[in-house]
Amino acid sequence: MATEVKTQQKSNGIAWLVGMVVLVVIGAIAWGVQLSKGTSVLGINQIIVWGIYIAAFFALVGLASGLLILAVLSDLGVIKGLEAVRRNLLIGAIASYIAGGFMILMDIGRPERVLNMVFGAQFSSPFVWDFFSLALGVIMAIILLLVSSKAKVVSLIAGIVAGVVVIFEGWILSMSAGSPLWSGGIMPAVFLVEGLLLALGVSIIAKPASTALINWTAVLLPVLFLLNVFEFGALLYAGDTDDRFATGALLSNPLFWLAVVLGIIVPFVLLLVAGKNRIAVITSGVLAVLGVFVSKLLIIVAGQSTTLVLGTGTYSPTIVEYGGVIGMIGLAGLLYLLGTWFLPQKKA
Amino acid sequence: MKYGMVIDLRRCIGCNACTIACKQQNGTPPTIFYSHTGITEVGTYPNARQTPLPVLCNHCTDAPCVDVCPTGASAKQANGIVTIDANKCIGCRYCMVACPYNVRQFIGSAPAGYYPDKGLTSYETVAYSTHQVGTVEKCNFCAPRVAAGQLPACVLTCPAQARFFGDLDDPTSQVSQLIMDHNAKPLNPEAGTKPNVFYIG
Repeated sequence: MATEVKTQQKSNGIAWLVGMVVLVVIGAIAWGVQLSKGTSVLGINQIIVWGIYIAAFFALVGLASGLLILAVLSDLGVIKGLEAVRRNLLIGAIASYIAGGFMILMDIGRPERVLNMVFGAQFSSPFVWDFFSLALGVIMAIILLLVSSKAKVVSLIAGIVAGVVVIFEGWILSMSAGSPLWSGGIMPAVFLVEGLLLALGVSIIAKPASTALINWTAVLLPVLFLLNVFEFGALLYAGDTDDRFATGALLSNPLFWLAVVLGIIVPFVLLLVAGKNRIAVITSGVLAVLGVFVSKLLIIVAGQSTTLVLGTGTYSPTIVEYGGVIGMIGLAGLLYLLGTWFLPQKKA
Repeated sequence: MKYGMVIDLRRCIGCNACTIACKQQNGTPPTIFYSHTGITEVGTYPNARQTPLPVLCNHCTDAPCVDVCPTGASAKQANGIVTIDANKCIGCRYCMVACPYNVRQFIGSAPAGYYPDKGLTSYETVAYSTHQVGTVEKCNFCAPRVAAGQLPACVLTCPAQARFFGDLDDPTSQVSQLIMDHNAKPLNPEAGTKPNVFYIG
């Protein structure tokens, strides 16, 4: 019986591995097309210069930081019942950080020059803060993987680093003078909550029986909703012309409301009324993850859609961009699988 | 020394000669405009009219593009001109989203030229070779011309003499005098970047 279960697990694992390799190949082909033809194969233009790649970068790094924070909260005893999946959370964090890094590499025009951000780093740029904090996040997740969950100080430092990474990501947007929709101090808080929701969403898909994870997800969904209300309500009520224009562009997009309803309200209600039903919990996780990703993309695009003289821009991701994002999701999955198989497991 | 520009909107006729002169001077590919003239409609029919608004890099004193650039490719020179070192640029486009004037342009692909079915002309072959694919570009007030004691191409070309260029730090310069005499204002000052292109009218 035990042998049969092991064989089944092994064949499942190989199926996942093959699936992830296929996704990575799709991503590699997309990147190859992009490198040979330039960004004309992407949906970005001279007005909307950041699109789905940046949204996926923020989402992957947010997910990574969220997973790392969950592991830290488990170590510190704030969330119970995650001890058995601590290693998975940390490997997931490392995999997502690395995939996020590759996502930004795919986005920039001269990826071969990325080391200019190290050897020619200009420290006034939030991008540089993000680059170094992300690298530190990977290092801290690796260290946590090597030390015991009883090393509370190390866990605390790792948690702070993970929080700082997402806060810097929020600052990348909010410190941009050219995009009024993103300005203001609320964006880092939104990124932090979104990162945690991505991690919780992925975690409850994988572990739908965890009451602690379900409860935390149910708490953070309305928090994200309220942050959206505070931000966009204030911009609509008291913002200047540009603020109102950009907020109007966002709020008049039916996709945004779909993301709010299907990504926040529906999963919240599902968790509240059917939190013990496995299918309902998994559905909530999937919806929350998709909702966060779609709203991130829409906010990134709407923030750029107000310009002086040139007119408003429009953006639709192309098949190459979808391929690139799928590839990086595959890379995160592949690294996670390989990590869980080959990284040494500490003895209890 | 702080170079700046004054544009007299009362004189501007919206002919786009500046736009073309800029393209010719810098040999920019299709869709790339360092300087462009927007046309906005004012009033209600029958009392409606079009007003041109030329926009270029404002070479802001507190340039957000310079601050956010992760590699130092965007830099503020001692003469006030904001420049981009194409060899340092990684094409992250953060400067483009940080710019409140949306005047930076990304060279995303190798230029196909203005006659794509016929290949590049001799002029295009030479001109486009100076642009690096995957990097961001913008107006530099025609820095090589200015260094040689000449006016920027857009200023020289303007048939209505609506553009003026000079040292904003010199109170006796023509641009300083125009700003003082006509209470010239910059565009979008609420962005807080202290732009150095001023408008009259």
